[in-house]
Amino acid sequence: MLFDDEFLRKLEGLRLAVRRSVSGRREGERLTRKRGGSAEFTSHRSYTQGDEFRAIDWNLYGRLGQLYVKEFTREEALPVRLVMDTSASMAPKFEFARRLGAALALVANQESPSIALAEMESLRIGAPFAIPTVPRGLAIVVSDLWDEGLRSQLLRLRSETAVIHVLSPEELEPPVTGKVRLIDSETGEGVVRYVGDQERAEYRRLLAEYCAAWKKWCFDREMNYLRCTSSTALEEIVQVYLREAGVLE
Amino acid sequence: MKFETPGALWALLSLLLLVLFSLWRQAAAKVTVPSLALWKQIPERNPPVRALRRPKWRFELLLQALAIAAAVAALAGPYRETSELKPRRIAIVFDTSARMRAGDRLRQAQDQALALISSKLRGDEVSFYGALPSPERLKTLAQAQPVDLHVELEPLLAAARAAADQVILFSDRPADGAHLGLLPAPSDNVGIVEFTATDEEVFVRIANHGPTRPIPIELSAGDVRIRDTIPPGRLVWSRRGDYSKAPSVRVSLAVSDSFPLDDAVEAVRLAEATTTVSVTGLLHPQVLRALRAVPGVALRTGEGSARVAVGVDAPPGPADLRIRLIPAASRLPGEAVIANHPLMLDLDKRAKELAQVCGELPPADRIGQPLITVGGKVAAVVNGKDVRLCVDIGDWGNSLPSLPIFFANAVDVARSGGSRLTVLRTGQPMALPPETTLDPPSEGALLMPDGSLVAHRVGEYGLRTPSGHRTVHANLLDERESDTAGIRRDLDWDPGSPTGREPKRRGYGGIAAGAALMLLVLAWLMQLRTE
Repeated sequence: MLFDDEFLRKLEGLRLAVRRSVSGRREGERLTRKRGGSAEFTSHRSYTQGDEFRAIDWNLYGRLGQLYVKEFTREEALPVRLVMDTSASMAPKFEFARRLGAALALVANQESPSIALAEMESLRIGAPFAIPTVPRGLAIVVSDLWDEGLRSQLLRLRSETAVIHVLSPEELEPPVTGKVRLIDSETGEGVVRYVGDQERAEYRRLLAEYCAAWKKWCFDREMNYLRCTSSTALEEIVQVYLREAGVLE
Repeated sequence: MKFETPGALWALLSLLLLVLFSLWRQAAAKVTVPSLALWKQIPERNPPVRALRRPKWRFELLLQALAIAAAVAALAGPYRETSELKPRRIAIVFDTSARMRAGDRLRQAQDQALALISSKLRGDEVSFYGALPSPERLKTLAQAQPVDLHVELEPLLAAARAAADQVILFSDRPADGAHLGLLPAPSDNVGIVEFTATDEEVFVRIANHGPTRPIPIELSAGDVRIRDTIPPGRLVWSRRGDYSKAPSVRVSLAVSDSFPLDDAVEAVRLAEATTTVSVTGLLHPQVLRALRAVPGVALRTGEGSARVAVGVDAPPGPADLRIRLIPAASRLPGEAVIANHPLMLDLDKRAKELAQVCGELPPADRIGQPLITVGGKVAAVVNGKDVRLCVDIGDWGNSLPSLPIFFANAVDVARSGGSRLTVLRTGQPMALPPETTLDPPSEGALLMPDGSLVAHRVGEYGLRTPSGHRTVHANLLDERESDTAGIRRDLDWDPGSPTGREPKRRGYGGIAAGAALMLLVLAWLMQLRTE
């Protein structure tokens, strides 16, 4: 059991936010711009060649003498794809990321059951990580973003995307001092550095620049971006930060 | 615990260097980070000095420090003194000169040495040295046997000093740097210590360690045999005569003493005593007279084969040395310059005389090395075995001594110097005529690469020379005339005295060195494990 009842109740009041209209295959609670067979009238527009005759508002034609067609929106289920980074660098914060992903899955499943929670629980660290192509809907990527190749993979997503940048407290404030051999958790490569106050300050500055660069990159491409720390309470992230970032509403 | 070289303990300061170096180069702790992307952008730098104040003590550092301490201790030579006395390194040197035969002194020395070893040198490391004839460490006492030559003590003592703390010398003469056991020369010895023999004179100097008395002496030179007596108190004897025809000259003392090796000496002539000289051209009486005056010259006229050929205003005949005297039309003004050449031996003192009789050589005859130049003009040259000399024969032969000197030099050069009476002394090289070999080969003599002969034993040696087989006698001629004859002096050192003797030491340097090595290996293994 990942969550207690209280937390689950809080999740019930949340839903995934999308900036633009999205469409899915299954009917759901989301309105799409897809016309035809709709239950909810949206607006009129001038008739153009090729429009269905069924859509012409004959009453309006009778009053105004011009052809207008009615537009409807259709309620469809929001396709949601949750992409979890399982590379080795995620090890220190993987449990946090898994719980976050599960919470998001629960929220998404409230509209339409699209994410299997069992998949979330079966995720293991060290598995090859690649972002699948998501043609439409909403893609939520949970990663520490240390892989520079992620940018090109994110660009291939044609859906609306939310990037949740997860960092551990050790990444924010490395608990090392003195002469250390730093080993890359993924490549095994090592470098020797003397780490003092000067180096720690420099690291913090570089990390801030790194996060800022990701944030700008995401915003420039109309992606939601949220940086969070694995030590932060999940409830606070779900209730506050994801809402502020526009991932939930 | 004491140290042989306590100064080496200063090397412990290197521990400080080890600690500083270790702090500076502390082994880096391994830390796994999600990504090196940011760390790579941070430049590497050396730890600040303040970081050294927080040393990270490691076990291998302790092992290294202990290894250094053990190595320094090994260098310092730790030891503990025991109740036993330290064995001394003692060298007993025997003077193996031929003169030690007299009176059986070497045997006496060996007996004294044996007595010392079995009493006062018990437990010490004793070695023996002698000259056989070069300085050598002897394996046994019995190897100390006299050689037939004079032994220089200094190299012998130097070899002994290099391997011993104390040196005992048994000799009949004192020497520095050794405890002397003086074995005096017997007081009856009479011997020849100096000998020279020329074609005109024989000279000997004798040493008499016995009572003053008349000493019978005998000289044999070819057919000449002379018996004489050296009066009491006199130590030199000489006799003039014509020994130029004698192949050897032998002088002996008719005495009966304890050391007969120095009672007889002999000089030998290695080349023919007679040299044939031919004269062609004008038979000038002064030239013939000067040639006849040279000892050992057989003169003949005409062009027959000879050792030296002289042509007076005519080509000389075939010979090993051909001299052509060219009459001088006029004398040269200026001073004569005489070249340094065997043909001009002693003539430099007669330069003024030669300047009065020499003329300039015709251009065709000036080829070769100038022998005489007068006022810058060449008067005599030598070209291989041809000599050209432009001279006024009449004036030169007018009782001027330079003429016979020149011919004597010419005959000597033609003989290659081998016709002189030569004295061979043991241990000293003697020049031999070219292409001379030892026949039969002898262990007592060596033919040196420069062609000289060195004999180490008194006696006869056969030589094959270009002019035939010769027998040469090696003479002792030890010029050392002992001033200790009849004086006996016991060893001037008591080896049995405990004064100055050091206690035996038990050293721990080896253990310390082994421990250092072991600790070093352990530290290395620890470091490997850490990495």
